[in-house]
Amino acid sequence: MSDSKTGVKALDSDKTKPKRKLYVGTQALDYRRDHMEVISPLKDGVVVDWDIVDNIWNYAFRQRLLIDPKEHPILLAEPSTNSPLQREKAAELLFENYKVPALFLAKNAVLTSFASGRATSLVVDSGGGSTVVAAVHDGYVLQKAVATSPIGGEFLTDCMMKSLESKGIVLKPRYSFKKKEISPGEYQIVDLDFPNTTESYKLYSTRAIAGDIKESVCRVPDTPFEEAAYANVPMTPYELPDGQTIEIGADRFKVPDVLFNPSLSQTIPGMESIADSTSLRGLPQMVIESINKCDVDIRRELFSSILLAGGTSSMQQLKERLEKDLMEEAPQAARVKVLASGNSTERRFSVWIGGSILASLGSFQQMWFSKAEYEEHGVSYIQRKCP
Amino acid sequence: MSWQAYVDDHLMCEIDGQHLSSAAILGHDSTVWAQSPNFPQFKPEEISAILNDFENPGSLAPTGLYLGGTKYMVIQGEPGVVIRGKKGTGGITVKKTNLALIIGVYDEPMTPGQCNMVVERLGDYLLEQGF
Repeated sequence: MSDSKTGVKALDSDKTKPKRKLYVGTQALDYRRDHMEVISPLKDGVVVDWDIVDNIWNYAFRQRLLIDPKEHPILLAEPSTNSPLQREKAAELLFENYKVPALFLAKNAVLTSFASGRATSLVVDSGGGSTVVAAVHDGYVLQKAVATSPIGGEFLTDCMMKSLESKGIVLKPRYSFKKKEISPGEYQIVDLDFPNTTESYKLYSTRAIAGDIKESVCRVPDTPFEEAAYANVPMTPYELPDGQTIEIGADRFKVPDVLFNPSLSQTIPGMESIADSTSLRGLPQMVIESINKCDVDIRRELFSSILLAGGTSSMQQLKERLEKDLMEEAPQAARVKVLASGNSTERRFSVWIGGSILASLGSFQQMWFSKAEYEEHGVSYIQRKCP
Repeated sequence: MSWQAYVDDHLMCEIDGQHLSSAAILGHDSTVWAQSPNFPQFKPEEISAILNDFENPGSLAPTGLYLGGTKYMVIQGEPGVVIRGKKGTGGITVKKTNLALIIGVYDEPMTPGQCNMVVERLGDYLLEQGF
């Protein structure tokens, strides 16, 4: 399923008309409309609103891919911790509404593993809404060896946003100003007022800017972040869309270090109440936790094939820092190797790439859950056919 | 219908051109109700460990599921009802009914999905019959 960034929907909630208009996709989001709310069907990486998912799939099939789902078997990627109820809901939706001829549910971690050509690996998927660490062995996720954390790209973006706000920097959303050329090369910023813009849209636009700042200047520090050590670090300039140039210093290193030390987020003004970060673990702890829940025989193999996936894994120096931290915490004899494909697009879409590989294998063709089987045995059979 | 017939006709049957490599129906006390000719020699401790996992789902995950000395990695099953294990290209499915344990062992080219269908289908039938 799409992550909240690419599949975010907008809806027009005009109070006079009871029916609401839905816009899907990132292109629709770039255009500001009155009363338009930004909503996502996912919460912490899990689907909570199936109606919206139905709309997204409908848009994807009919408007973007221009296909009739009746003619195409669907391979659906699901979270590694998906509950049986969610799987049945998805299967029911696809068979009843879209009348797909066949379906298979594959776990995200397994597909990422296949995308890198491995049947056994420890997959660290750090996406927008959450981070999931799952152990895959011979193409199947091991029961109990999955660790999740709500800290993902969006949490880090929020940290960056709150940190900048506390320093007095105002992030003006793109729609709220206009650049007027007063003489060749010289621009003046004119503020525009749109009173009917919803809070959620404003927040979305502000987050988009903070997210871009995070992606361009942030680097994971080589050692755990300390206020004192980074107090005098040289500042990096960043130009905001409205022309204002801001300097970012310690935050460059502090924000990414939240992945390794979640309690750091408590020191950012405005973030204290967001999460009960005392119970949250950093990435290295999650990796160790997941591996320790696995069979002793495969732990070595898992340590030497740790895969990074997801948008947040493209953070600079993340791979090196994770490797270093794990080498300290792992048992002596283990060789720690963290792998990541160099291309950030590949990391972001590794699940899709793995799915594409799996679906094209000859040996996979007998594993589909067909419409006939669904009609004969009911939706609960999906649990047996797609372990 | 005798238990052996259940094993021969319903567990070792052909599904999509494949069949299980071995299967058995055991009682909760490790007694063999029926088994296929090449079903591995198992130990009573292995069966009690399996039963324990049905009571406390996840207890077998760190150590692995053993049957006849062969170790299977535990993958996602259904807590309290089905345990699924994998070993290389093959694996095992164990379904618990009121009085019995139905075990199916498969190897390639059979898929886990097919093994699950065979074993669990019989399990559902026995549950209906009260076994």
